[in-house]
Amino acid sequence: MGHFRSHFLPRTPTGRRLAALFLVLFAFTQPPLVFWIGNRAEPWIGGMPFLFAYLLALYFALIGVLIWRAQTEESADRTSDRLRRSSQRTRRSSDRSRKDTEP
Amino acid sequence: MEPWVIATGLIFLYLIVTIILGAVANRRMSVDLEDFLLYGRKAGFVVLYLTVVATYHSAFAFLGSSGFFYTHGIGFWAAGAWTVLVGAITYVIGSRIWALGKAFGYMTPADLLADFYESDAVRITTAVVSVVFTILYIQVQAKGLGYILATASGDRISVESGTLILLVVAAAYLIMGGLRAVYWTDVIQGAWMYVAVWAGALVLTVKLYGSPAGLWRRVAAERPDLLSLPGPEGFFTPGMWFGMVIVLSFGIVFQPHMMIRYYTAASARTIKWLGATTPLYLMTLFIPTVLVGLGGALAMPGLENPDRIFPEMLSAHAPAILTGVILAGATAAAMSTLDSILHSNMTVLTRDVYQRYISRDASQGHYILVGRLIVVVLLAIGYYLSVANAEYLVVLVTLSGSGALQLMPAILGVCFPSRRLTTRTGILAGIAAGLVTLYITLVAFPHPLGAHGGIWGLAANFVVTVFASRMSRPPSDETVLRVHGAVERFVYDR
Repeated sequence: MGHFRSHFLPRTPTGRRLAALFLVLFAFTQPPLVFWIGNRAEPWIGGMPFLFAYLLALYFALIGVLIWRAQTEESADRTSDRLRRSSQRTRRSSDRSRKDTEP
Repeated sequence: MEPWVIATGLIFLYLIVTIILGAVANRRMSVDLEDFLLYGRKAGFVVLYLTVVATYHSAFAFLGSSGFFYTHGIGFWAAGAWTVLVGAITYVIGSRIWALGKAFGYMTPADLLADFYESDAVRITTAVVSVVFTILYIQVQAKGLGYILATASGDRISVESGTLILLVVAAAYLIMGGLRAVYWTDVIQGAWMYVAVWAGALVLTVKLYGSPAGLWRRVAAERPDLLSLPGPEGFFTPGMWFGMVIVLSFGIVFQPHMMIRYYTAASARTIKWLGATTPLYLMTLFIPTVLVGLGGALAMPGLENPDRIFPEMLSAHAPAILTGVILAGATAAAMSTLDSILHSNMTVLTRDVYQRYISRDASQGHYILVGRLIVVVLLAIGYYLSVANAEYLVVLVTLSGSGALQLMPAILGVCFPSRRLTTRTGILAGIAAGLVTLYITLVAFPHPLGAHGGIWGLAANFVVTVFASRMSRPPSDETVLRVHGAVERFVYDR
């Protein structure tokens, strides 16, 4: 028996949203959806056949999700760093003032 | 000056640059095994990015993918899906592998698995799977290199001599500078191959069809079968599409030369941004190869060896200097994979076999010397395999792409804490079942029911791993708390 909650399902709402978005977009690049929706040359998009353009758009969207995830995680890290630093400062200043007021 | 002199000269110029980089890396190296094998775990974003993409994309991406588009049409654009998946795997699993490597000093895939599953049998199995299924890639890349040099020189340099020259150069800079030399040369190789493949494809497309849109229109008019699934020869069935996506993403990422790269990142931030952005390079490299492959299908139909479509098109339609630059790029693509495989096999054999079972307490300098000797032995094996042409090799190469994929359940068990644990008996039984199934579904009865053999192997592996893990003893509480605790803190404690 393991000691930790499963890591196979994301725990945060942002993590769940991004994982779901990635999986849905990815499903559109895979059978059967790619065969049902993408398997045709027309309509042409930007001079490219539909199948090529359809997959290209999905691939860029998937990369966008990964970059979005990296950015949200980085800003969460920065916020928690800021909070940690500010709580350390608060603790230090309260320690100092306690020392100052000691007889 | 004759075209072959320019093309061959540019390749040799490129080889000289790599040797110089190896020598400079040697001067920067300290007598430290971690520095020699893992770049001191301080690879920054740019260096790590270019070495990962250059290692992932081999001679196959440069030459073979054009051949695939040439033969099977647009179906090979599934390649974009597996390259995007490589990014996601790096982000989610690679970052955990990095964190565990940093916390517990792991250097090889076997270190990671043997520590959690508390088993020497797991260490040996992982080392054997790692080496056997990647050593064959040395042969594939070396042979590709021989063909490139033979093509560039107009067959004045034989395939065998070309293979030997390029193997010796790769081994030389690896011996001199260790992983630092590999990384530095990969930076050049990664940049060079990307520019070369785009330049070559655009020059050929504009010259022959006016523009990429003109090429697409001509393909639609003359070979519409190349623009639909499953392609002219019915290759890209749903099962094959999905199977290739899984095998060529997870299967490549779990090979030792890719996993070892995760250990070398300077920080978690580096590896996460690596995961988020590598698909930009990996996926877009296939755009020019679509143009070459489909353009080639119209301009040079009926080619006996479709993998040679890019060099053949260049020889026929591009200026000699561009052909030289591009063939040097193809050399870079193959060498960057070759040197990484040589390095990873050296690392596995030095760390998991020599240091663990032959000489435990030798000096760092001693292990570095042994590592260098192992590279020489691997060089000899690689050369022998590439000129032997033995029939059994064809079978082994067929298996090799899906071999490392069989480590997947074991790696997930370490990197993803869960209520239900995988056990050493479970993963050993799973790997055995996976490899047997792989042999049956790739060699004996290839791709049953239209699904890639690698998927059958992986499915059998997962079923047996889960079933056998339920019935056997899990790793000790102390180990689970230590290893899974480190993952829990890395992912959720901020």
